[in-house]
Amino acid sequence: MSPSELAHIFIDGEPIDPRAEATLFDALAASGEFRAELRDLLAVRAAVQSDVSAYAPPKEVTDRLFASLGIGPAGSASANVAGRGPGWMRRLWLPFVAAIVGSALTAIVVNNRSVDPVQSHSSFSVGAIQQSPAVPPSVTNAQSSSASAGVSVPDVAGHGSHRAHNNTLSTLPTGLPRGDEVTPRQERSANVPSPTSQVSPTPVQRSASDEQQRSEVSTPINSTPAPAVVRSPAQTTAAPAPTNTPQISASQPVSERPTVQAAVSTPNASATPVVTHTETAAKTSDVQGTVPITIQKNLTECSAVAPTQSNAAVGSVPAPTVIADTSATSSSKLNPAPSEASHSGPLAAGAAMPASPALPPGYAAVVRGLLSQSIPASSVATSTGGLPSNVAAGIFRMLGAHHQVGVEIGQEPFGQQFSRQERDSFVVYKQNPTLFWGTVAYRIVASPVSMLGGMIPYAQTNLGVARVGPLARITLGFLFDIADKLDLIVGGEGAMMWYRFESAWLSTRKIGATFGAAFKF
Amino acid sequence: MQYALGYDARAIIHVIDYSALTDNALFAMLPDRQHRDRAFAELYRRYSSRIFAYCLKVLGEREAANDAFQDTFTRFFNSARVDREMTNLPAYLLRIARNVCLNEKRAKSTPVSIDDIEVPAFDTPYEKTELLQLISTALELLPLQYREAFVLREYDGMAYAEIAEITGITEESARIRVFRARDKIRMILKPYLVDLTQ
Repeated sequence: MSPSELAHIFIDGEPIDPRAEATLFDALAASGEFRAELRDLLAVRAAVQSDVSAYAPPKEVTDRLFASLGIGPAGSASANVAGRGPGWMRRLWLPFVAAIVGSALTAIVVNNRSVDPVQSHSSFSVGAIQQSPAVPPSVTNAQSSSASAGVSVPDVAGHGSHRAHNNTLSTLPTGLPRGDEVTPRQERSANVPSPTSQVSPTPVQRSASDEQQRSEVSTPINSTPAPAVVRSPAQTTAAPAPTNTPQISASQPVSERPTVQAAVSTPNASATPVVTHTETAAKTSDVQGTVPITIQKNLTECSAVAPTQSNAAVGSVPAPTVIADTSATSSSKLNPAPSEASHSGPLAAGAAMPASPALPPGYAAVVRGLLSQSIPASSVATSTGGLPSNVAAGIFRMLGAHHQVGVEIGQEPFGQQFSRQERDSFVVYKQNPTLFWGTVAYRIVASPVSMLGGMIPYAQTNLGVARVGPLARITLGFLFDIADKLDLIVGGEGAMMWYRFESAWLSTRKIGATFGAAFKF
Repeated sequence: MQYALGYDARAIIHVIDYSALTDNALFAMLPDRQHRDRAFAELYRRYSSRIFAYCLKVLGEREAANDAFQDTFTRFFNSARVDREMTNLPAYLLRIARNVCLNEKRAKSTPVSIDDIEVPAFDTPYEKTELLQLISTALELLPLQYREAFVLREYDGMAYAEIAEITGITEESARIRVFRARDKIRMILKPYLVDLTQ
């Protein structure tokens, strides 16, 4: 190793072999030029060390860097780390966008599935017929005389096809009555032995009492008028009357039949959708985007679900497509006289439409469990109180075929973490309080998905307040119809709660699953 | 303890002294939203001078150095979001800075051999304070690989093994580059260093 290299190693402060060190010192002692070289190297190093300005980045550069990264000024105390203003907006956009996209997709799916006339008509006509014990009582003589001109009632329902096997509206996807779902019916005179295949919209004259009933019935129905159900006398004779519904004989002229009280608008009303069906007939023009169907389908569906028929059990009602096929094949059977029609097809002679329970006004009580995790997860044990935690309960009201609104309350823990600078230390607080909350909810329900065994997708949004601040929830899940008036709920849920700490808004997110049941009434 | 939200809740208080944490511990905190800001601020406090000195001396222009410096820490911050194991954070930062500066230099400069450097004639008397400017001028005359080796050694205090790791060369090659860079600077500044020592 040369003396120059030894000089570099020496100024680097690295250890030198004793023999190499002797060589270095001997060279320094012998050569003035080598000593000058060593001094030059030491001077350059000293100058570099004194170049303080090269070591400090400009303040504006530092500020610009921290601003671009979304961090507070370097060295400043941080009141919290859980959600300053810009931070919570950055985290909030994704849940909201996901909710909007999910709602839009659900709406698209719902709209696309609601335009199928065959399935929806078949299913709802089944359900509607099931609840219609008799011919609409509001049919007047004038109507009877004009019954030969059929009245088509468009079907606006979009997701009842899976209910074809069910006989009551109470078993519809969301557990809420589908009284407003329309099944096209053809109005006929009581003396007409069989339905006609010709359907055309015809204005129907109504009595004043009928108008009043329709106004009462139609009040809660905004966009989906109820279907009208008109049956031939032969088919309705044997149908058992529902509770509080007057008995109507098939042989009884329509004009003499008693009036059925409106049921849709009052919870305690037990009237059948017959009234609503009639109302729909008068409001055909109000229904948009619907397609009328022939009465043949209705009769087939009616007969298929008649419980009094020995050869046709309620549960054996085929799927909508089957019903449609059946109607297509049996339409010819509907043309004969009542005596023949009564012995043809599933509907036996003289069999009246089955008695149907009172039409529920459209409410559902929901109870569900919340299985979610706070983000960030809190290691602090939560406090316990008298009320159960991680549960929610609510009441929903159906606004249409696919829309529901309601209120929900619940209680669950929310992990919280906030921090602040205290002297030379940074103090982080963690807590996991159980908080009570209340929200208003909006739910949109799609049509049943046959590929998923009839499960019904739904999306729900809650907005409200928790004990310490505003709260928002988004749920995506499925409904399962497991029994009459009972649905199971399962889905995934995300929630965000905001709270304040030292004049700063912080937030806690939760994500997880939800499960429960909806009781329809 | 009166909790922040004013209601009875169980809480655990963590007192975090970020200045006492190791580089690896701070780096591990960067993906955590709760600690990201403070951890990054502490790492910035520790190594911003080194990185800025490297960018300034290698690029030779303050404006370009400012951009390269900001770009370096931005890339570092973003890379910390990915869960990765960190063994030598200063070297990692300098490696990022080197890549940024090299990209900048390749776009502007042409390679020059250290043996072809002509020592300029400085006729103007100088003061001690001007020595720093002379050193910067001398650095600009060096080829990039010698310049960065000299900066890493003299300005950033990196060991030869770390220089080798950052630049992708052997330790012996890193040592030779630093030695030759020193000699060249010394030769460039020799007239002025003679006056300085006298």
